[in-house]
Amino acid sequence: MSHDLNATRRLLDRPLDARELHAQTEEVARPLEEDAGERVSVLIVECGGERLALPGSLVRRVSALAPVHRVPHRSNAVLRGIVNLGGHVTLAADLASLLELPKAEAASAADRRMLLLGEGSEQWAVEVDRVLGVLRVEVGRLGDAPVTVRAARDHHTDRLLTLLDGEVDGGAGRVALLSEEKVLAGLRRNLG
Amino acid sequence: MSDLGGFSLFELFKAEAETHGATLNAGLLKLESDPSDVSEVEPLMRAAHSLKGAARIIGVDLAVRVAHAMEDCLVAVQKGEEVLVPARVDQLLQGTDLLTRLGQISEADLPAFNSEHESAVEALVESLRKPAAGSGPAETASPKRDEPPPPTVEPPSSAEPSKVVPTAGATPPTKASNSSSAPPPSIRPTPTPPPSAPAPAKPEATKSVSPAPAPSPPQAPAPRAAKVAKVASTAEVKTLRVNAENLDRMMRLAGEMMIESRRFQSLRESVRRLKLELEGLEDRLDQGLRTASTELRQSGAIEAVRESLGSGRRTLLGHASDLENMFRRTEEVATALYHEVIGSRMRPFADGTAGFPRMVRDLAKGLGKQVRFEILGGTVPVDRDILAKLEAPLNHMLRNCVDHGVEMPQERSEAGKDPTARVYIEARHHGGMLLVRVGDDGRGIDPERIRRKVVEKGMQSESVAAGLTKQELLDFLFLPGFSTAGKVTEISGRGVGLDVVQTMVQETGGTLRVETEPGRGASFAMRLPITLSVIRAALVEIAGEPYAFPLSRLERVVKVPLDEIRPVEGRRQFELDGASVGLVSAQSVLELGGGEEAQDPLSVMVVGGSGEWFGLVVDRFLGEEDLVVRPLDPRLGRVAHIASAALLEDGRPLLIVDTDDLVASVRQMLGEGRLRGARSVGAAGGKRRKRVLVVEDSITVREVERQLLLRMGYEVEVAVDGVDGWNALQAGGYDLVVSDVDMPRMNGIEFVKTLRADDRFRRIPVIIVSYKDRDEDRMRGMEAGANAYLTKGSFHDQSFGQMVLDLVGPAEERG
Repeated sequence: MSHDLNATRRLLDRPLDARELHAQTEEVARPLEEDAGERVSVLIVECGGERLALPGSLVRRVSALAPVHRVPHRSNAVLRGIVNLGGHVTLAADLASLLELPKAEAASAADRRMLLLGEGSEQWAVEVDRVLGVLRVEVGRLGDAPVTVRAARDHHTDRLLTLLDGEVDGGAGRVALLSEEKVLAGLRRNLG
Repeated sequence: MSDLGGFSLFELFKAEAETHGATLNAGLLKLESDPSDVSEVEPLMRAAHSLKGAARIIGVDLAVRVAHAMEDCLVAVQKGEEVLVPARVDQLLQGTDLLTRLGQISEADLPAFNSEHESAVEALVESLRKPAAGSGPAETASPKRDEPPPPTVEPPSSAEPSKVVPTAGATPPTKASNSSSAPPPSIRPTPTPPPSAPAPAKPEATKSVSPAPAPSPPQAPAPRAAKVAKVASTAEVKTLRVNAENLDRMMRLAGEMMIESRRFQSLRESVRRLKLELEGLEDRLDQGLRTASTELRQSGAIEAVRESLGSGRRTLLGHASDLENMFRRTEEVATALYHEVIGSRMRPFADGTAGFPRMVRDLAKGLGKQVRFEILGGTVPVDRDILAKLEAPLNHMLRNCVDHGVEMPQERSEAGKDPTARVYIEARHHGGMLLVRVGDDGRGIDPERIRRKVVEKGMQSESVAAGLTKQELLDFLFLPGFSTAGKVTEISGRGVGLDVVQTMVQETGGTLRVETEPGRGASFAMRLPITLSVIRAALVEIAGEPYAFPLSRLERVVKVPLDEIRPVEGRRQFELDGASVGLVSAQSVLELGGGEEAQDPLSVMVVGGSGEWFGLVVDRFLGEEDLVVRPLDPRLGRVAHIASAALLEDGRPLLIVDTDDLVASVRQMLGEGRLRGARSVGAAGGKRRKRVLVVEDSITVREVERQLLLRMGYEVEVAVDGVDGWNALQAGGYDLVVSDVDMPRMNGIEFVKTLRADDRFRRIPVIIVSYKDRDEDRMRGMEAGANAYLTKGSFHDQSFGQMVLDLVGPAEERG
């Protein structure tokens, strides 16, 4: 117990580098009223040529690309196979296929990342073309999901997030904030 | 009571009781069969002495007295003052039992144990102090033995002042003279305190993992004929108690460490390239210098650059070779560590059999039988998980052998056999598997008796029973409650519990066979994986991805030139050692795309069995490797043709092939499959008939079911076990599944559960038909998800047919 406490203390007391210090200073210097609303963290990624927002609670880890091994008789467009993420072997899925987004050809291998989604016995590794950043956004910036469902993506979307200019690459715009529950359920459906 | 590294002193005593108890048991039995071998007495004396000291430290007077009396008795034997007669061995074994039992209770139960055994101990100590009948070389020995026993040498390092109360006939526990000036009659000639004397410094000294066994299990030799006595010596190997989860984590980490260390390879490569680049730069600079203007050459600036470039390269060269050495060393250490950790899962077979000689002896004695018991292959390394699982089945099979297999001495003599029967356990490695055989040379098992019983019990009609083969009849022995013994004794009813043995064997992916020759004996042969966690496998590439074939199930790996392949009746095949081997592309069995063009020669994995061989064409061979087996992600459920996963040395995942399952599919693909290969759905044009899948391993029962259903008008397909059934289901279109329970590879319960867990099959009605008719069996079946549970007797009456009609209706209704 005291050991943990010491570790925590060390972590909190560690010296910050210039960038971190700058970020922290900005955070502290921010006018109070901005903090009035509830905030959620989201990870903004590029996948299938689109920008998407994933709830922070859904994403466990961002790692480098790892080779996926198909599972005979089982692998399909969504269920890609198994993958080893740092010694942990889990199932790999194709997020773009789940959301029926076009396959992006231009994505450079250097930018591509693997995200570990979900937790416990329900983890999935999905590949994205690019990770654009993590944002803490006020709940007020989230709009309702589109009323008419046009694409598979909309089936897995809870809300729409309005990105401000300069927040992440690609400028201002509205992106789908995927639903943790619906994405996991969608992936699960493709196991059979 | 003080603690030592988390182990209470009582825990330490328990550990000692276990170790020394095993030594005493094994040694006493050996002495009984050969009382002249006095050299065997020494370790027993030490064991008794150690136990006495340990008991004294925890203050259990009862145990001190027993151990003390035993020690004295053994000392007398060693000095030749007493000959060890069977009655005395019995007493000593009783003492050993008591001490062992004491080591099995919890500390809280000590007072109860003490009062409960007080009088028994009194009597035992008394009898140990008296000469056993016919044991003394001379009657003069007895007055000596009535003298107070010798003072015992107190261990100098005794952790606590012992609070031992002097007991009847025992000496005061003073720090008595260990000077040998006036040796009392029976003091030990060499009063060296045993290495593991009371209060051992190592708190963890107990069973479990032996420190340095064979590094790579599957290649370990299979030494035979190591006899019972090995038990004693293995108990002396220093072992540590290690948490199993801990060990598993260590194994994973060691595996990753090895993989990481190999990544240095790429770094090493880039250092080498850097060195070459620098050399190139120097060359270019030299060339440039030659053509440069005199002025530039004389300025010295370039010369200086060249100089520092050269020294930089030399430094790099030095570092590179240092790095090189470090890399190699790290990799070696990591690899060695990995193998050690894997090896630490292995324990000698003898570790799991220590209790058996005693059990067999007592059992035989109680039944008035004469038995010579042998353990062969005591040093064969066995995975600790498997060893633990083996104990109960072995115990059971041995009891079976002694109780039912072995005849009375007179009966044996009359039959012209040695009145002393032979009962044995044998372990050895064979073809990457662990073979454990338990057998006797007794009366054997009469298949005809089983046949009669089957009919008697209403499990089969007389006509069906008449057609059962010997092996099929023997399989009935594995049904719960199927006993062929005239009376079920308390020791064992042959048959009762054999189903437990079979369940255990199946759970570990092994097979169990009974072999018998009436009048000559019977044996149970278990074929088990050597370890559940590491397999030796051939790595191949199929459709561009790595797969592993366990070597234990792989017949051959061959290169076949294209011109040696001949089509026969539309099937591609080639000759191997005079046998024809049908070829199938692994890629198509596994339904994978993306492989390469067929190469010449083809890389072929030869699999199969029972004289029937198949060649699986793969992209290429990658080599052979020990793989740490990882279970498939449970979310995948059962995957056809795939057993488990593993990681390659570079960290890439691979899949381990379920060879048996693959062979079953290949067999069907190659047309022997009148089963599923020749399916003609709706070919008749008219109404489609309902289709039933029958999953049953006995060909007789399968045929009965098939005929019944065909007569009712259904289309019937059959599968020979759960795995086969599961594969058959994938084709879809079944209206009913009929399944047996006891089947190899995947039993019926597991099969039904798997089927119910899958959305596609959740609604298909399932009837389980089994010989097992107890309520708990029925419950298990229904809980797994069966709609009905019938016994095989139901074929005789209408209940099977009626149930089929109830569940799916008449055969021709589906339009």
